[in-house]
Amino acid sequence: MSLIQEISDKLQGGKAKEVKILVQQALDEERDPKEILNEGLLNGMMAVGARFKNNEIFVPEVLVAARAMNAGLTILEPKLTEIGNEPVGKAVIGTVQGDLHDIGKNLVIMMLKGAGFEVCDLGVDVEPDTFIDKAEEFEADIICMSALLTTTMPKMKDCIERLQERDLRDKYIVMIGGAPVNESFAKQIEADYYTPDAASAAEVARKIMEEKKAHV
Amino acid sequence: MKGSKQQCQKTGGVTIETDTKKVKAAKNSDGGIKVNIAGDRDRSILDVLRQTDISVSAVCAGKGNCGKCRIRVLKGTVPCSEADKKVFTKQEIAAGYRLACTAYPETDCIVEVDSDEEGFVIPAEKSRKDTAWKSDGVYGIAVDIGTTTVVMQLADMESGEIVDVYTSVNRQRIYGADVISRIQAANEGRGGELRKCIQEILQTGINAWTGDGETQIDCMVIGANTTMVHLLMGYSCKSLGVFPFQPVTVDLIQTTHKRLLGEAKGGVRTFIMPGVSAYVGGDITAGLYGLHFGEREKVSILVDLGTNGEMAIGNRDRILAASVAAGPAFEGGNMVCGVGSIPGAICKVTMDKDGIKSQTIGDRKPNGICGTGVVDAVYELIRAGIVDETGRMAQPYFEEGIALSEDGRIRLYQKDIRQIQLAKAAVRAGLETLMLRYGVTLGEVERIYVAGGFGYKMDIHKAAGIGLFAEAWREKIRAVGNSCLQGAAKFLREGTALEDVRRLVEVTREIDLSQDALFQQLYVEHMCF
Repeated sequence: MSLIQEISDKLQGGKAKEVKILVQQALDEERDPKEILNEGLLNGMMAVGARFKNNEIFVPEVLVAARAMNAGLTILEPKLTEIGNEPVGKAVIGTVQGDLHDIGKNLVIMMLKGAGFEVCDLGVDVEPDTFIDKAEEFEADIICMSALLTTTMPKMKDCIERLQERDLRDKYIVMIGGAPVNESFAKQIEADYYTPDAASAAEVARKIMEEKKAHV
Repeated sequence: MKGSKQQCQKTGGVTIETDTKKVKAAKNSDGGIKVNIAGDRDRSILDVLRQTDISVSAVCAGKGNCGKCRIRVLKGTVPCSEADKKVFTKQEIAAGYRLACTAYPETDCIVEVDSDEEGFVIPAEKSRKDTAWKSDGVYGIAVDIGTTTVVMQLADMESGEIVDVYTSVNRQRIYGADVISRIQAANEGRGGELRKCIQEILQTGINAWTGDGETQIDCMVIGANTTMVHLLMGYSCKSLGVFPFQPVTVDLIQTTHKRLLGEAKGGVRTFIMPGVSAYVGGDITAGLYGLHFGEREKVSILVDLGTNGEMAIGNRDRILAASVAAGPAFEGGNMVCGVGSIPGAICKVTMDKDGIKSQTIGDRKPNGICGTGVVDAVYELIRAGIVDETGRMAQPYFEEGIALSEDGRIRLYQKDIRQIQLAKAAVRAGLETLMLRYGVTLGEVERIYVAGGFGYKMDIHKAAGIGLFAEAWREKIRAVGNSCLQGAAKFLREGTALEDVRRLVEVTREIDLSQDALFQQLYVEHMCF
């Protein structure tokens, strides 16, 4: 098995220490940091995402895999910065105002990172304008909003309305998710995308960025 | 086929006509109800049914997510929705099956509704006594208004004896299974309808006892969660459904039948149990009171297993309370074949070398699986090695689910196991966090009381087997049934009830588990089996 493949495999098994050692080894062997990132870490995390989406694995396994990915990233990041590696895209993400649920949102963050995104976590109980302010500041491509309560879903609409009022609606892709949210709600509030799970969110986000780049 | 016209006529179906909305419904013997619905492209059939007294399960509050509000269109045109395509097979859609919540009739039509909800099995603590109660006594009424069910007891004020029981499904269920959907409905201007649901149930219960005009009711005590109290009192629910979850009040309420129900005769004294916060309500206070927490020196735990797992730990000097979002898995809410505790629900599952055997409530033909059945099934599947410690099912069950009924229709799927993992982890992590935050070890806890209808029927050994409780807790666990109702009944009896309950609330403090890092860690840990 190739070293890069081994990184991906160990990551999927949640072996943080081994991933760390292997990434260091790959760097020592002067492998391309982008290859280590894309074919090793991100490939591994995307595989984890696909299995999560298919219900083969569950939250605890995703969390340990994400921990392994982060362990590898810590070693790799200085190198990536050095060679000026650009992320696939940038996203700001948070749970809407009045809502404190964050496990689902955190899973999306892990999957987005696993898809090569730079992610700014706004936390929970995030006001509509904060999403927009942070997106501006972070130069984000995508705004992701999560709500787990029927009572807090309307805050997603508020954010989209604020984007319109601030004349910024076309600047951002808006993605939404959370247990009570569905496709028809997304249509109703004119969000760009609804995804039912974290892995799909990352897949869709990646596709959006590919399309965006193809158009430039 | 359920409820064909012939059958209906044979059994002498009754026609119900409600005054206000002119909805015609005919009921037949096996539970199917045929309803005439006027063509209206802007109004969902679920919304029309809400105006009738027909019970329909609408777990997700009509968003097209849960797939529970199934109806069958017998006559007329109701276009198939996107949600229908996800829930039903092509054959079912062709046969007229639709979800009531996304069904907008283009023409007048006749639809069939399964009214199994009406047979909801409600643990009533004490069944109706054989001997009739004497009409010249002085009585009190203890009430538990639950999110799912309502139970009322008639108690002899002198002897304290419970002489009769009245139970009903909480008809607010058609607005959604959990309190959040009720809050949302109230905030959308349906508060009056929700209030009326409860008022009517209370009124019917009271009428059953006072209809003779002689029975004297002296006092009524209500235990209910904070949302139910808000809806009953007609309080605004605006700040109840969003962080920081502010109730209008959780104080003890003293009122009268008349003020509460409008039409009721006389000024019967009525007390509504005080709560602690938006999510630790008067039902928990009543439970703590009923279980004598205010008199105890030793530390005990009370956990009420409903849609929200409410829990408290403490003694007469200090009590900590919390609630966790367990989700409706234990009530069958978010399971593919899940149902409430209705006749035909698989409630017991065993497995041996000959395969899976299941029992249903009322020994009826299986029509779904309820909470106790789910716990049993998961326990057996773990034991048989079909579900591994990460919660994954072995093939071919991973793809097809596993059949729990002989005809193979009622199945437990991989995604159901995932829901159970979330639910049991939330309860277990909540209890462990409470113990740690209170500063006691298991050894210092005298009893763990498990309340709620689900908890009462649950096999504790099996619940421990799936990790809902730790194995070491088993000998301390006592299933106590409806502790809220017991507390309300005790309130009727005791002369010092007012002060005792007030003191209990004074020593109780809530902790917010959602912001507790330890809870989050334990939550993830306990997701495995």
